[in-house]
Amino acid sequence: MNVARSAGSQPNISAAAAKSASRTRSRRRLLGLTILLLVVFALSLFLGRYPQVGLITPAQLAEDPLAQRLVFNLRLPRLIASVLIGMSLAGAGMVMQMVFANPLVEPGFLGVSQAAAFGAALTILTMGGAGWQVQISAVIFGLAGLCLSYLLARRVRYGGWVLRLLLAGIAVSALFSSGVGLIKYLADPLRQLPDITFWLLGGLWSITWQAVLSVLPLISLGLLVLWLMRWRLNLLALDDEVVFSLGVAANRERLLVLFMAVAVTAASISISGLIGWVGLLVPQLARRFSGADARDGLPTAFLLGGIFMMICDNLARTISAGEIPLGVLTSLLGALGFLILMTRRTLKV
Amino acid sequence: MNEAILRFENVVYRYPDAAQQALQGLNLTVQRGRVTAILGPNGAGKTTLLRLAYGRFQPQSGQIWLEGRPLADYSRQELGRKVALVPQRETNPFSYTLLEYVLLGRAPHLSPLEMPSAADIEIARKALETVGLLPLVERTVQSLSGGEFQLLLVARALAQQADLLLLDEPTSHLDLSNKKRLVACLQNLVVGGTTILFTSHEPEVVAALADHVVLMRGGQVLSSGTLDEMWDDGRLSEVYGIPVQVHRFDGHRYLTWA
Repeated sequence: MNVARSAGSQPNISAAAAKSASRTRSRRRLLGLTILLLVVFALSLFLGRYPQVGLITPAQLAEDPLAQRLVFNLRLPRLIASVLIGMSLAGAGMVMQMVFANPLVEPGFLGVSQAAAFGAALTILTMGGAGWQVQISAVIFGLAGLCLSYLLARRVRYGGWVLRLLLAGIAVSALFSSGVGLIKYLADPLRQLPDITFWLLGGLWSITWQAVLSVLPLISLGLLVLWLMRWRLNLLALDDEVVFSLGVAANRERLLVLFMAVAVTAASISISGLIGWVGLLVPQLARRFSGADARDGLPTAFLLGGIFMMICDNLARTISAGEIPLGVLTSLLGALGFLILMTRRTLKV
Repeated sequence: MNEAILRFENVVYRYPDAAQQALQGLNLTVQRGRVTAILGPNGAGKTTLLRLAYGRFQPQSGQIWLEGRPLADYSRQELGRKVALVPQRETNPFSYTLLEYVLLGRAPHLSPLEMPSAADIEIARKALETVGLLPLVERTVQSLSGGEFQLLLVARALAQQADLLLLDEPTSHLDLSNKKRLVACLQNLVVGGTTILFTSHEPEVVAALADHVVLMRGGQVLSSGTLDEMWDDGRLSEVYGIPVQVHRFDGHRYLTWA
């Protein structure tokens, strides 16, 4: 150990060069992705079915007041929402995969998604389902789903902490999804059931500036905390005894990052409805792209998540005259992408 | 150099729900700069002893002293800077590079929002160099053999720059050549002055490394002393409960058992 201790004071030049080269490479990659995100964002703003299918020209935008309203009051908040939601779901997926040391986990685990769906459906059934009611109820129930999973996990008498949380999450998810089933059975098939079904399929057609601004603070805070703790996520993926021996209060930190992941997930799906597969697929892609270390992996997942969600939403709103539910598209693309990743020759997660 | 770094005083530990105490009034002293080996049959309490030594479990009675201070008084992060652990097994599903993995050993020196600095990276590289893995630095952890992975865990513990290195059966699932490689690496550390406490089921590894041997059975220390004192037919037979014979040949010691 003395050998290692003497090292800090006299940095080796080639090592420093190698180190800075690899950091420069990853910084350049992140910069490239950021530029790509901005380009996709700008193009998406002009893309749609008005006044013709395809891109709107700047001249049309300058002359047509309807086009202006369309772009600034409908498309812009919708795009911002899709970026926020993509970042949240992908980031939360990355966090959960690391905390549970399992690359096949996504935010739907721990009962969050199903609980939020139950909260939304319940509000539609009992209170008529105004937008803000559904949002608040989805966030509250999403967090309640996490708390319930956590409390149950503490009582499970089998396996380590991570396994217990997963088992509890599966049970809580099943509980809330049976509740959703019951609500669908009870709902008025003409008035309420379509609302509930649309919410369960997910979509961004009803996004307003108000909806975006209502979730912006929570999502920004959550993503910021996760970003600040990104190196730490690597530690939380280690075995319990190892992370303890490294002097980390692992369960407290795991709970903090999980709470943030759940909060951004619940806030996202409160305005979009259920959107699956992004949290599973995008972190996998991000690790292929930037390596396992969450220092680069998490920002990569944020950026790829935002890009993926914008592209999915563009397809959802432009392919056909009627809108395709976003959740259906992300599931389709996500599952296909996942299958391709998983069946490639080298499985590198 | 005969200062005690770690001392167990009448330590009793019982696992929750267990009928029997895992450690029954255990007394043990680990001297700074020495290599202490703990030998004993399965269930003797060796791993439990290590878990208490890095603070994972607290004794129900008795006292553990680390550098003259009660171990319970250290914060978890402080303890991470004093005691490093090389676990018997470790699983991680993600494809880290060796450097990224060893860098995790710097955690006790960083606050929760701090990123490893260039100095931390340099320390991690030195640790990889010390265990001979520096040429593989950009490879991923998954591509390592079992023996190389064990060396990687030693490197991570070195990056922790702790005063005491704990190893739990470090050679238990290594083949002969990897065993030799790990023993040679640990011997180098010993020359460098590292204090090591390790458990083992392998007398030849103990004989190659240890200055001081502790024989455990049933949660207690049966006897302890220098390797020469402990490498005795009667003592080893008592620990394992079967007849064991020590043979000396060409400066080496060999055990046979009936």
